[in-house]
Amino acid sequence: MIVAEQKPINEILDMLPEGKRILVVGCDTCVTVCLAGGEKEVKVLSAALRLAKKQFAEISGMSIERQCDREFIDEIREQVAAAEVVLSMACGAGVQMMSDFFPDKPILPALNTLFMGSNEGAGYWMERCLGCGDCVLDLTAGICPRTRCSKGLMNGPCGGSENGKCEVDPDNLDCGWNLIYQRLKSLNRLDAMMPIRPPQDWSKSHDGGPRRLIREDVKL
Amino acid sequence: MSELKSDSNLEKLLAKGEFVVTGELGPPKSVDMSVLDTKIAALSGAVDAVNITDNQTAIVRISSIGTAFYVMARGLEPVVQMTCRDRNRLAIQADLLGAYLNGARNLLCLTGDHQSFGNHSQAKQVYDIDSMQLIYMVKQMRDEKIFQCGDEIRNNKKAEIHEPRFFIGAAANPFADPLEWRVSRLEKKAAAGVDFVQTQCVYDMDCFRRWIEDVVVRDLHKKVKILAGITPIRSLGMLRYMKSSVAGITIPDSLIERFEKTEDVKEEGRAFALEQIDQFRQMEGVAGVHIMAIEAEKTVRGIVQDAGLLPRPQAA
Amino acid sequence: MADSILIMHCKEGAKKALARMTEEGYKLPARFKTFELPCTGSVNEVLLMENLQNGASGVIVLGCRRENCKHMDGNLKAERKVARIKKMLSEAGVEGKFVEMVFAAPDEGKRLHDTLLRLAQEVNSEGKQK
Repeated sequence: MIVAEQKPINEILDMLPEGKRILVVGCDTCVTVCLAGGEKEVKVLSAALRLAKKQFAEISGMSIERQCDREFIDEIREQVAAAEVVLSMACGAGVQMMSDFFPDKPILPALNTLFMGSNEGAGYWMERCLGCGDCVLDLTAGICPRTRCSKGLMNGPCGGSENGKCEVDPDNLDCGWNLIYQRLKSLNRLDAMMPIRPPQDWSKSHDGGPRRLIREDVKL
Repeated sequence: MSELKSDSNLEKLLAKGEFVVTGELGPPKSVDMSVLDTKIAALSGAVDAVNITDNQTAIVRISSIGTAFYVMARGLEPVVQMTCRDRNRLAIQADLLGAYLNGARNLLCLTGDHQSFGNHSQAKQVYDIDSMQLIYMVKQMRDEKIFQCGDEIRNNKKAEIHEPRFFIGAAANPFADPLEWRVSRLEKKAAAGVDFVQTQCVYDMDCFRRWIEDVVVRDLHKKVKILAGITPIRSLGMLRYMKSSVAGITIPDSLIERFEKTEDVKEEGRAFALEQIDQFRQMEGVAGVHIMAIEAEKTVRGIVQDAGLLPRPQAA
Repeated sequence: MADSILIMHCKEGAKKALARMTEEGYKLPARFKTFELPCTGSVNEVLLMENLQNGASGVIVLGCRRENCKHMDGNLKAERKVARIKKMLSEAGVEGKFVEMVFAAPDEGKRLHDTLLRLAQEVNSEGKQK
């Protein structure tokens, strides 16, 4: 899922123009799961904005299923029309889609979208996928060398791997390539460490230009 | 004797069976030529070639290639270092052509320290390719005369091929994890096309010995010339810092004890370095030493002299 | 409701502490209201914030003594939730409101009374939260 976190409230307040009618819109999908922009977060943030020193004409709050799908945005046309500014608590994709839908309204981001990742435990999410467009997880025993290695190496580990930790943050960061190595070892597949993996085709990632996915077979 | 692959003096000396000595030079963080002049004066004649570091620890300095030109013009053979952190494959290949054009012949292919260690931690990291892919790319440029994309290295279809022919080096770390895999990693670099490696600085001679014995068993020392790394100890603080804070350096407790007991740490450091050189010269598989005395370049000549390695041989 | 102080307390140690405090003759002024939770660990941030928004000057989350939570570490979780809200209110420059976590022991009636009054006082006199 997409993981995001709320911007510090003073940053949000700096963005919001004083004296306006603000509509805070949450999203019930990814940002609800990572406790950043769901219904509950909308209510807490709205209350904080009402208490803030900076004054606004009105703060209303609501949440929709997803802000990255027009069918749900369509449902709130009236509420958006009544507001002067929209504070979206969705991920970057949602903020942008809302902006496309309501080009005459400022749609402001309450969150910083971070990564595609997994929930590792209560209050702990970790980056797993870069969206590089060329998945190699079959070669690395299901551990991504792009995201789990600080340098994104394809032929790691580098010399900075010690005690299974990455020197970039030895207290908290596992060496991704050590993880790959240990798992391959446990699967009796250390031979997979020897081939020289060729350079990535970055044209399949964002580097090749903003990406689109089109399925002719499902277009109307 | 195998055919020479490049015009490099370092390669020639190694091919002749000489026990080579390489040094290291860190360029300044400004265009202060006097800093370079001092270092060049300290190392000229004391080493066969000198590594020029490339934005080491991700701190901006004069580029390795830029400094290499300065150093070559003053009679010292450089080992250009190329990291993967700052440049993509286009920039790397272009820089290599430029380096070769101006006389550089030795190239050390490195991954490069993560930018979070340096003074521009907000920079975008590149790592378009990694050190293994870089070795292979440089080898392809030299031996297959093609760029990474497959194009031939010629100006147009009718022009002659003029490929850069580097003597290809890399780093090797017998002490990093996973320890049991380090020789296999060297084997992988050999398969990628590396001609020589310089190891991380050695303090644990027993651990190094086990590594080199495995290297010899696999016959790797015949394909790859191995230079053992030495960094002379200059203070107890330095030793303790390396033990606690630097990944990939192993320091036995017995060595710390030795240096805690001594009265003159610098002298003891020199003595230890000389013992190491002596042992390396006798080890099968070790073709030379790489002395990394960063910011203490003036101590190198004395060490090389006392090790009985002066004057440095001429390459044919 | 304006200027009131809400004490959101657990039904275990905190409730006992409040009862003990009253038994010993330490009464709280009328502006103090209480709200019972099964455990402070379950304190609902929305409820907390809405009380502040609707006029309460302060919310005190009152839990068991640190090592004594009946649900292991509910009170410690509450402390972290309160810390997060405090930070947000501070960054938003909110004045005249406060949120605090208090750990209460059942046998410290006077001390609890003094703590609660002091918290209320600080926001009263200067219009600033602690």
